[in-house]
Amino acid sequence: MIRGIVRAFDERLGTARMTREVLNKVFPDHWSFLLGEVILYCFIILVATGVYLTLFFDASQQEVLYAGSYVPLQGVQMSRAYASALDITFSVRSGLVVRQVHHWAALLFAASMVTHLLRTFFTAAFRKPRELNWAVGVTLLMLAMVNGFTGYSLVDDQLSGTGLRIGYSIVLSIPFVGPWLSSLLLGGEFPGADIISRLFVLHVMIVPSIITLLLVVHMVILVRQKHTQFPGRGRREGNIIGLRLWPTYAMKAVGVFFLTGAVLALMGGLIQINPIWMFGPFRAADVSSASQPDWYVGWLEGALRLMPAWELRASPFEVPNPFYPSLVLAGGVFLVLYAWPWMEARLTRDHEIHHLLDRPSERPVRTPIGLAAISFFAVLFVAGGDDVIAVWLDMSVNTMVRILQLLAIVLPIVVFLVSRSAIRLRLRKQQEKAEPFCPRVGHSRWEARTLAALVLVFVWFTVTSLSSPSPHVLPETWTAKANAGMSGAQMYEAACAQCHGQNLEGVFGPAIGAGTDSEDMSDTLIQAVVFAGIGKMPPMPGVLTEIQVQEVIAFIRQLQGIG
Amino acid sequence: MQGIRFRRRHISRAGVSLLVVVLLFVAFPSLATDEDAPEQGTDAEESEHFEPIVPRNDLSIGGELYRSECSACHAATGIGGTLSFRDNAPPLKGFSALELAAAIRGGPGEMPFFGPDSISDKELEQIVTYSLYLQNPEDLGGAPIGRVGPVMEGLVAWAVGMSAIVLGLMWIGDRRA
Repeated sequence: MIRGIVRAFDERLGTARMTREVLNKVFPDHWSFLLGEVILYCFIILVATGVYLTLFFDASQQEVLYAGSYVPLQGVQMSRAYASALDITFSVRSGLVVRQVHHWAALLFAASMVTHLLRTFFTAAFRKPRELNWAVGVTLLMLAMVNGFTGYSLVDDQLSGTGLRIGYSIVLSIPFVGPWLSSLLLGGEFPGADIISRLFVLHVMIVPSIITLLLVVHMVILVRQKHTQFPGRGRREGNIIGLRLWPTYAMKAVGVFFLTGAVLALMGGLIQINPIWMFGPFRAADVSSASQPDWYVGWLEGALRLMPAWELRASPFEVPNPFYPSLVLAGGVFLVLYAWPWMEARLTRDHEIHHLLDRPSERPVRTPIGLAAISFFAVLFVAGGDDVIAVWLDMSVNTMVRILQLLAIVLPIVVFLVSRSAIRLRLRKQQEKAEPFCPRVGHSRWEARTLAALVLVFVWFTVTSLSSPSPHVLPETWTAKANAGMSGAQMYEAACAQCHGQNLEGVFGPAIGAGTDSEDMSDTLIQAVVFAGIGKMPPMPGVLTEIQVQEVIAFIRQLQGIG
Repeated sequence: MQGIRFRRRHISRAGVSLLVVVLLFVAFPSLATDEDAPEQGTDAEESEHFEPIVPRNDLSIGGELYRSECSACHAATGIGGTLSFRDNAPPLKGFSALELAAAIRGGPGEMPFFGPDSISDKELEQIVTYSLYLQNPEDLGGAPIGRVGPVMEGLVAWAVGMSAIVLGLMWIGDRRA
């Protein structure tokens, strides 16, 4: 019977030949070729968990009073979107674990994509004839970022609303069309009444459909063009050495699926992610410290934080500052990614077809460029979390931003030069081994030494800039510098006397002479008041340095008859 | 031939007019939603007057106050945060109710003080209640990894998740290149 059905299909569709071809397809066996599969399995898990969440999520901004089981939010006004996300967390059976698996899967979806992209880049698997598939892959990465951001913004808690507001500001910063475009997206001014439902359609339907389509295209092209492989014994441009799909490779693929599923299930079950119940409903007036986007958008957040506050004027129009570190940077990064295969072919004049991969450790230009790019993004990632990391390191966040601004420029150059000379050295040693008596030029080693010196200088600079300022010394500003050399009396006259009077008798401000409360205040408290301000008194950080304030206090004490 | 051509044109005209009508409804939703308008009105009225099913409690009022007054420095999860130039808003962990209340009223260091005019005694009590809750909050979903948000989550995604997957792949696949 079964044989009959199979034969009937075969006679009409030619399935037997196709199946035989597919089952006999050979896959090279290096582990790095499995990274692409992880992306696919993450996506499958994302869709499965996402469908479950969609059953209970209510993408509406209509305000309700929360009446669910989480006591610390009961009776609080919030959108139905956030209320339903809380219900998923607290009331829906296995809702929390599904939501956590969904979120971890999104993080790993993007992470495995980046790893897969790096593998493709460093081994030059993007070369002709695979440029098109590279472009499809880059588009997939971009779509993953977009879908991640829309999902993050959907929950309508304080964190997601903060992210949405930054996105809104970025759209606003687009020259000429920004304000119109943003009100078109939001259906009015921020936060608008439509954005959640629009993001929802994007997040669960439009973007996932395009991702599915492109994943299929990506794999069809892969099957059509066959796999690349590392060079090695018996491996040539014209063959593929590896395992047949059936039975070995299929079993490996199933193994990879279970591996991905197991890691995600463990993480979703054991590690808390995005505890939305602690963030509270989104209020446009509030913002919490330590608000960050998910990691795959973190580099843009970092760029926003590192960008100096320059007002760049393309006369006669002003282009708002956030435009550069967000859209110009992201546009530039993706443009370079898209263009890379063609750019490299043009620059190296290599228009041949390649099926054998390069070894990254033998490419003295491409590998250093890739490593430099990684170091640049690493700096941006650190900058994206600088407020959190500053607390961990017990370090001034301002110093940190300065160092990171410098590092964002210096580190990629250093990484490029160091890795290039390391690879050249290695290649030369290999060559020497092959032909021991060839003449050699020793400038590579010299280069490495210079670079090591450069790195040392930079480390020294960093360490000194970290350790030199004592904990609470405020930076010297122009005003503070202008005060240099003034006595306490002169500074009191300049900064304090207008309000507190020449002899502490008080004019606009209170009297601070003998017998007043100020006499009982400690020096530290007075200093705190000067820096922080109190009531109508303006805060004066930067006007006076700490030492100068101490001199002023000494003068006040003198008048009070204490000092 | 003539007849067929005529019929084709006839059909396409009908199709075009249908398309125009559909487009009109898509482009001007007001045409289609006129009937719904009064219904929406009652909805809005309801949401203004409806009674809370569960009233607010001290914890939820305190939470709202905490998020609007305190979370900008101490973070929504109470883990503290950085201020400019190495000043930190400390985490709430380890402070007693009295210390928390004193800090709110007195404003130590860089912290502003909140007098009875801005925060009443009752509200003070509610904020302190919520702050104490944040010292040991409901921790669903596993290890809280510091409650610092996406920075830590991204770190864990790479250091734990991606590393585990790569190690697994090296186990499944071939390590010799």
